[in-house]
Amino acid sequence: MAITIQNVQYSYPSHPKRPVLNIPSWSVSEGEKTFLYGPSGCGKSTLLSALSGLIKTTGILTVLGQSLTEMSTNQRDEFRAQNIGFVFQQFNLISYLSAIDNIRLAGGFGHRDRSDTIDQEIKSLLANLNIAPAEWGEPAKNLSIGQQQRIAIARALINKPQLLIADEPTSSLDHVNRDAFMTLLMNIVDEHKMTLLLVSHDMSLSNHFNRVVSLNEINLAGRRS
Amino acid sequence: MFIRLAIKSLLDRKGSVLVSLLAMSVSIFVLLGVEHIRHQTKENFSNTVSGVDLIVGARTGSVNLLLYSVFRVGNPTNNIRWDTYKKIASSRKVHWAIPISLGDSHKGYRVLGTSADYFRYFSYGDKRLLEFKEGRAFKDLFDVVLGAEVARKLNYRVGDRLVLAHGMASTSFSLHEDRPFDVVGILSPTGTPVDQTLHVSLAGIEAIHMDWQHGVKQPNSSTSIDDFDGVELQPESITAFMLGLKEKMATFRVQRGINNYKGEPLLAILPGVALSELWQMMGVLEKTLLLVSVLVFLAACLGVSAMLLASIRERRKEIHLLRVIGASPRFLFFLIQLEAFLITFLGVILGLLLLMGCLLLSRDYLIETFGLHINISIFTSNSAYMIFMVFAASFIVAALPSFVSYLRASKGLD
Repeated sequence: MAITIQNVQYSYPSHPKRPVLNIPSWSVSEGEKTFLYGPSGCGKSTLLSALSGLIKTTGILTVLGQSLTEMSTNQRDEFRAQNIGFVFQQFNLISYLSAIDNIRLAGGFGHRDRSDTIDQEIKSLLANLNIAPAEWGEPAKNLSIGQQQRIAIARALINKPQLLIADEPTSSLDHVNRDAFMTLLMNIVDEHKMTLLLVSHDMSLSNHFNRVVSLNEINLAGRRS
Repeated sequence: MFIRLAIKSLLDRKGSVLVSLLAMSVSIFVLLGVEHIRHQTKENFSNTVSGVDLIVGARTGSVNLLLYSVFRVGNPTNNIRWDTYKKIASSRKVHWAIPISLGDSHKGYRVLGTSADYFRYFSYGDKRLLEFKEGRAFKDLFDVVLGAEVARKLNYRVGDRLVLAHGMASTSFSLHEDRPFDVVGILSPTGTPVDQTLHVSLAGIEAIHMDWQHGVKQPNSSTSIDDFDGVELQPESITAFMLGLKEKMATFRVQRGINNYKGEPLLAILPGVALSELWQMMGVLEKTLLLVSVLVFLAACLGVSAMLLASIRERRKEIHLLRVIGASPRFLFFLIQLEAFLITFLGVILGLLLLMGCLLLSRDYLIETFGLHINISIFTSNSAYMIFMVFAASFIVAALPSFVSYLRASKGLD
């Protein structure tokens, strides 16, 4: 299993008696492409934070065979850097760093910066994602949203993750760019044989996936809200 | 990549960083400047005279006597009689005596009437004797030996002729025009008031004041330079004198004897003790200046801290992104600390450059106005210690924003 959840609960420290996550049981198989949807405030972002180890939950939360609930903060940070790739709706990149530096920074957290071939790999990823060499050195803030999204995919792939999490990645894109992005993402996921978990409220994307899940069905806390 | 990230992050916030950097530079300039000038002034004063056991003058305050006899600052309250000087100088306990006669000047530089023993026995710094860069000591009545700074600033060479003025004003209308002096020697630089002094013989001082009364030349004066040939001129009084004793153990006994001298009221001081008194008087001012500069620096540090704290709020999304791609809370703590370090480091460099530039530009002014020789090289163990403390203080004040960042990251709030 890529993700296994059993009796996972989480409340924000400011409201300890109001859980935002309460999932009795849920799992995602390796190589599965899962589309997760739900209304605002149902706990989508909190679930992603829990799956990436940014917050510590109670219960059993296993990702790629590793129990996140038994790891220290540092271990979770290392695990996230080395095994999970992220793509967001926006603010995907450090705005003042170039495309190359953004990817190299992520490579550094995954200890890939010691590899002699990292620069070659970065250039190859950028070229494969159709980013023109003239834009590789430009600060991210000078690039279009579409270009930033593609660079974010390259950044997510640099540590060769087994799990790719995408949080509303197409919200800022128009129809043409949205379709192009989804096609590109699915090709990459197939090519690298990754598990994909995509969160969105845009149901038209669901036809790209082999599994569609409503968070309200699995999160009891979200259902109450 | 870590350093590169910190540098690029600072460059991305040029405006607020630049203001913090300027505040930091100015505070470091003030802090190191006050400390350097304080240290240099103390060293200068301590180095001005050495090997002199006692300084004797008319009864006044010990600091006043030290200031006018050694530092050429202020004016003597009274003179002492020549026969008193001769009597004390000929005591069997006295190894050497240097008479000092002040009261004339040349273009703002003081003229010191003394004996040839001045060049033989007067020492400064680590008991270094005076050395001639050019020429020799005065021998004839109208010979003058220039301090290094006088010769440099007024562009005098050996063989040049100059006229002394009556009184201390930089522009005097009472000139001894009819009795000019020949430059016979130029001293090597000493970094003491000697550099700003013209040295003539006591007889020379007497000669230029022949036919003068109460600072004014008598209208019907008839003495010409030729009239001084073969005449031994002896002063009636001098301003002060310095003593070197045969036995240091006798210093307090000789001092007591001079202070109880029946012939006229005298004061004998130990230069080291008078210097300590001077520093004690200056102590409060010194500490106040240091306190003000420390407060200025702390204000700048708090400014940097506030700027970094505000930047954490502005950069919440950036910090969240860093966390998502694997940055640990410790990484964020040190990132904020590194940014504070870089601002402090640049602040120190700019502050030091500013201080060196200001010292270079004000060097002549400080020498001419206060007789202070301030070394432009500010790298001493003291300044190294201050710089270390600056970095330590910046680390402490940056700890607050760094810790906030660490805490938020640890709790998963970013």
